[in-house]
Amino acid sequence: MKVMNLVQAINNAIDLKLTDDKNIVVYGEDVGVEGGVFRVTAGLQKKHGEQRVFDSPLAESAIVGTAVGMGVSGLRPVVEMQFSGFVYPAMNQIVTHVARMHNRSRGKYKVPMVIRMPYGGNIKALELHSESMEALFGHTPGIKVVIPSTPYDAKGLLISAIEDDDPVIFMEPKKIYRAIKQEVPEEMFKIEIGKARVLNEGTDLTAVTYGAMVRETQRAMVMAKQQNISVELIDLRTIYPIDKDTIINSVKKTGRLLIVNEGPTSFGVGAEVMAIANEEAFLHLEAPPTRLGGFDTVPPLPQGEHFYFHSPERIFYEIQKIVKF
Amino acid sequence: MNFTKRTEYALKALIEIGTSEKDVPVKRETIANNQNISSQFLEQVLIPLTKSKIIKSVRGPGGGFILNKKAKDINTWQVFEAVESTTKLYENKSTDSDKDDSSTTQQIQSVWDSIDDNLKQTMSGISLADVIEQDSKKDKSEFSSLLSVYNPQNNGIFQIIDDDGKVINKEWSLTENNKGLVEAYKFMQYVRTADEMCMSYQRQGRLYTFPPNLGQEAISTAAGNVVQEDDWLVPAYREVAAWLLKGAKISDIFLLWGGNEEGYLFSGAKNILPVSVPIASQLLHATGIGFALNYQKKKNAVFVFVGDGGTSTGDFHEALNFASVWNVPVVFIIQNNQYAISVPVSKQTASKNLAIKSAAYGMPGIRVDGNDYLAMHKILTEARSRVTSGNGPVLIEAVTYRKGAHTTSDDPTLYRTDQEEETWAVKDPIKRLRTYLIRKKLWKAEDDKKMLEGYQKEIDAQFLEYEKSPEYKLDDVFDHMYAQAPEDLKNQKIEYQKYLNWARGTK
Repeated sequence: MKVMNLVQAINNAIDLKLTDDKNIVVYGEDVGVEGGVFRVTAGLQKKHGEQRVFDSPLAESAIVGTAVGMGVSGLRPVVEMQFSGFVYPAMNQIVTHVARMHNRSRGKYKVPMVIRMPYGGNIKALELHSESMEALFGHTPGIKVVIPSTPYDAKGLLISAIEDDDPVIFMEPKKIYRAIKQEVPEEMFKIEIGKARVLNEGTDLTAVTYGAMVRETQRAMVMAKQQNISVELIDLRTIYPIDKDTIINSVKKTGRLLIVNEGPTSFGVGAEVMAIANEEAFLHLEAPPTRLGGFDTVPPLPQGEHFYFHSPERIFYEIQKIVKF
Repeated sequence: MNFTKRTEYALKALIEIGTSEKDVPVKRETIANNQNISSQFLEQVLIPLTKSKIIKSVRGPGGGFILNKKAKDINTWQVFEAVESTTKLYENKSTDSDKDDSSTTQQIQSVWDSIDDNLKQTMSGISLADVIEQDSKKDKSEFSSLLSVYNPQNNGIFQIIDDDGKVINKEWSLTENNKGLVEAYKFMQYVRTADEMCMSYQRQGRLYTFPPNLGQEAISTAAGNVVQEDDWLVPAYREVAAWLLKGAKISDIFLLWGGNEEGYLFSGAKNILPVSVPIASQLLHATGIGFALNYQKKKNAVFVFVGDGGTSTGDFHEALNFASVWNVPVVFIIQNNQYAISVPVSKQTASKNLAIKSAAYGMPGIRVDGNDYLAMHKILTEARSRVTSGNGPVLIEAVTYRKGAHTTSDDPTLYRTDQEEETWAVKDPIKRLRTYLIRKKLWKAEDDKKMLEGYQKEIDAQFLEYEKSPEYKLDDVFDHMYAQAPEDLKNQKIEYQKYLNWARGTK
């Protein structure tokens, strides 16, 4: 075991897969010589060569579109969008081809690829550097959407994503890229896509979250505990396909539900989780399920971001409101 | 019938009068000078034009000539009739004694007559407005001649001064006078001072991410000096000099990189878009603005910036294609600073240069030394003149070097060598213009210190003032999302306020 942060764990996963499978290529803006603006691919070009890890010209649409071509012809591209807020030019390729090629060709062509992107905010960044648009991808049939919250999960999930025959959008919470360190096995291991994880068992309320919001919710739980509120914490880990069973079983047990995420609230992941609870655990509910998403605004620039991104206090405020209902 | 110089001069005079600003009389001398007609000859056409009520004279100070009716209601036949002694192609001037009324002669005369009729018809169909429009479309700029010498196919690059500030190219007239050059030098120094101070504020945690302009000051200073008040400026994010010269305040720059949307406003500046983070997307907006200018019959230009990396995007190609098809008045400026973050131009394109890409869209393109202020000012002036006279867009590749990091978050040592940086240091735009000015005795080396200290003081005072600006409010997150806020959004703000009240109560 070796202590790794998220950046190191992701780097390690890509490194192992590059060694393991000659069909894997890694490219994107600045990923080669520099190792990416967050250094996630640092050292990989040196180790695996410029043929397999390289800087592409600057064009997100072209990066994803060419990956479709590689995917149908036997390669397994792992491409990077420098920031999730830069993916928009590639949305056409993602929605019209990445997500549809398998169905369109009736399974004749698979497009195995991973589109990695740092996402999320509260990092005092420029415009379009703080976006959380997992709901857009979750709403696009044909792709899987994975978001790890720990180095261990990041490695295991990314290896699964690379081996998956379907395209996977792999969103990396950049706020905690270097904030969390834990022991991660150096060898290859996998975590199944589509399975949530119960991080903490509790009896009063189910908190469903993912990505950087896991850590903030854990901090809110400490505050809740002081008020004798017992929170069951679920890390979704996969946005689509969503793990309904874990959500339903927990809500049946606690009777209360809070979903915490960063993206705009309306039409978001929170709404989806609430719908699952309403459909499958309605008679167990003791309070209205609650969404704590971002405002339906763009993420403000640094001076205003403290209003937008959830603090533990903000999450605790919602927890105690639900319990008091 | 004979077209004499009278018709030509009459039309020239009418173009001059017809293109003057609305209802402002044009003086005899102005017409004579601008159209290069002797005043004696001019008088011979102005009198008949006045008599036939095509123009009228306005007396008194500020007097001169104005059109008596709209340019579209004056046709060239009327002008011809007014100034020429005859409009007939041929008249049989035989005397009574040798009167020739043979049927042959009459038949021939009818041929002349029908030609006269056709001529009358044709000329009646061409209005003064048509003539004026054609004249305005003439490319009077030197852009085409520059292009023929510095063709990007041959990898040519337009320069006026060399690395030591010596004039190496005397073939072309300068577009900036000595006073303008001194002002430009001072402004480039001001911008560099502001740039260096912003980087230091950033390191002190008083600004957030900042993209330095270091080494690229000549391009955006020249653009800022050429762009007119009613022209449009469409930024990328590394041309601060142009924003300031267009009217933005230094406080806007602090606000922007200090993480406040108010900075996007460029509050004092007219016709400038906010900074555009999505690479090259702004080029399409410039093309759209160009369309609107044509549609609204405005004689203005759009100046839009993109970097070398941006030329790889689909938006770059789409914008240039649309612009050329629509014949819009846009000056596309590529700041080729050699790097897109860490990726060098050689990995961005297999073309021999970036200007050459214009060829695919049927648009002229030219490479210019972006670290040569004199060349930059010249090329942008000629480009503006060309695009505003209806000749369609142009692409300018300004070759420069990003001396600093991509942003304060970037570390250039990972991808380039000291040796490379030293090679470019001798081409520094400020150093070159300074040497030029000192050589010409327009600037004294010893004046730098006082000037720079003055700038530092001024900028620091303004930064301290900026730091006193009002705190960011919850309203600032919500209030500009829609022209009319949906109820749901208003409620989100109210709910958040409730939380803030609760949080205050619990502490």
